[in-house]
Amino acid sequence: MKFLIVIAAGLLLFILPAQAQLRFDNQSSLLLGNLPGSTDKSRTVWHNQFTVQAGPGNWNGQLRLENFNFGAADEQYTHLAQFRLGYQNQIWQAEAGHFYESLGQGLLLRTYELPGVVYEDLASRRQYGFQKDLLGSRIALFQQHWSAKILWGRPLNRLVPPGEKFSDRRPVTLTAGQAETSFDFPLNGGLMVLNAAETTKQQSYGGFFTRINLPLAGDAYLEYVQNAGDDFRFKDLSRNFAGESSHGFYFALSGGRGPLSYSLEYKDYHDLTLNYNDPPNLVHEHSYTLLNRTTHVIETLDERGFQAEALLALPGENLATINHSTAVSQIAGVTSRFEEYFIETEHPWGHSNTMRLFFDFLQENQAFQKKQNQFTAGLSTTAALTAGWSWQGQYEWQQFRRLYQFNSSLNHNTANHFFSFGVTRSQAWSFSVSSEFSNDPLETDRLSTEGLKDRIITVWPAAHIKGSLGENHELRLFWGERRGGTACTGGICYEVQPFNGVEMTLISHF
Amino acid sequence: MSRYRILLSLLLLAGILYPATLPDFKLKDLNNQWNSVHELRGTSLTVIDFWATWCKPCLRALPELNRLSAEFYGQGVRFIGVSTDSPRNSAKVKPVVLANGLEYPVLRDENSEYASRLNITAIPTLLIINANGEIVYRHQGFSPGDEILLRAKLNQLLTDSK
Repeated sequence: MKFLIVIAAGLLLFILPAQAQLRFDNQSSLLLGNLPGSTDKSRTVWHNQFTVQAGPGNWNGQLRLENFNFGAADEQYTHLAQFRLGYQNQIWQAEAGHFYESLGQGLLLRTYELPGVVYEDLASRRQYGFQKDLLGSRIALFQQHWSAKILWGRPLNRLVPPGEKFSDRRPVTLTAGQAETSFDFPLNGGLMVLNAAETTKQQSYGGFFTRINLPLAGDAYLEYVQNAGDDFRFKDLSRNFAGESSHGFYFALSGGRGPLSYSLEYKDYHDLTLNYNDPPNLVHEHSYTLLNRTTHVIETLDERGFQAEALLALPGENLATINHSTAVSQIAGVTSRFEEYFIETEHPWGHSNTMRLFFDFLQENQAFQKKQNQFTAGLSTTAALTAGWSWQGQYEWQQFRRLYQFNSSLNHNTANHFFSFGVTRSQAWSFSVSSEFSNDPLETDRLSTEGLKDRIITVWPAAHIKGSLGENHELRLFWGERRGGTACTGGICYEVQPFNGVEMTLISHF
Repeated sequence: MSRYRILLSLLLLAGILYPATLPDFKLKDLNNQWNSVHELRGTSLTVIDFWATWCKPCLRALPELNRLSAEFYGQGVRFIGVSTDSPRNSAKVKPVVLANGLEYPVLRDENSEYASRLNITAIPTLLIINANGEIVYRHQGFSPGDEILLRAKLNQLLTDSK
């Protein structure tokens, strides 16, 4: 029966007229190499994600097939990763299947996708697309001065890979709604409710948000969410307002005038680890390799903090960015503190050329470990060679001291270096080489020797090639060693597994 | 397994026959107003730039796209910026837009839902859409001198459409 349905679906799409507006996308990645530190040294895996979308008239639909092959038998899978059928006009929108949705700024609910990112689960070693979606349905209404949406669905626990039981991947059923105003007034706002039901328990949450248009092109946004018990009765309000129950508070102020633009944000989250939310982190998202890896990852069990950022546009399209963020979290009575100061300047030079300089100071005092006086600095430049050709160079340096609370003999200084150099033929191909150097004993210490040998330098050299194959295909090739660790893309932080070898990715759109 | 292969073959065959077109979508602008992407389209061409505040090549492209937007405005070409910044960075979108003096509309795609519909796998990605709603050009990344290529492409597409 399932076979017939698939065939019928395929034929239906095939025979639809040109107005079907079909789009096809495929991303295929082949890894040939080893996993450093693994007893199984050989690693050859292939991940493929094929998406077809159709949008005749006001209708739209999507099918996404995903498979993972060549690994161990219990790692392999082929599954229908997503399907969706939707209808949209100027007044309302309805969808059924897999979809993404947020309430407010994501303190209670946010599902999302990181397009192009393939995640590898450390436990199962399975690779899969980075999408955290809802499976269910939603209806949204759009009016001139207000909008509303209701949804029912089961959010994906992204950390449980494909191939596991449905009830493990989607253990919670959500019912949620939000209504908000969009009058041409300085003040607008909205209300939201969410109920999360599991097999043995359920929790409900409520909240509100408000937006205020301020003079001098400024905006203020405030959001508060609160646990409402298991029945929306908000029985323990006094306890809640004392900060003892699940709650989240987020405030943002942004704007600018003349050469100065700014944003100022504050957060206060407590017991807000919901697995289907994504509260704003309030830490600068760095694209520099070393800073991206050593960033602070939010602790939604209990965290407060703020972030302030200013952009200063200077004559000649020079631009300066100044950022400061602080976060304090408390778990089981142990306080952790994170502080970061970042400054970056951008200088155009010649025709279309840019140079960036940055300096960063960071301290992180975690429960049993302290990162003291982390200095990071670097420069990057991008410059044109001739018409259509350009080169890029980058160097980053980082140094800090790691202190251990219970064994000071393990304390050590660490330095990291990163450089890259590449040449690009615009819209045709690019080639670059990069390398990291580190004496961080957490990665470089030899287990066979006593004590920490923090003078051992480890190198991660790599070459990258990217080429366009016609207008519809792009080939990316990585050859070398990839250092693992935290990576943040699009505001989401996750772990990248280290790898030695060759990775080929072919992306097609047609 | 075999049924997926058959479906895949049928879909690939169908894909060769039909051109990719721009789906409509409602997104909020910087003033929190809902906008239909189709309503913002140009009469001749539409340029949609997917970018984010943390993406350095995206930021390099913004002043150049702003200049191109002003240059081609009179020929029915409209530029739309789509910020894919998540709530983590959404407070920084307006400051970046103000600092760069962008004059074309910028919409928010905080869950990358619209980017996903168009299978944008890297940013910056710029799409050019013709008057029929067909995606006629896809430009990924931004290197020095790309503004010259984009200007040439826009001129060529405008000439072809006459």
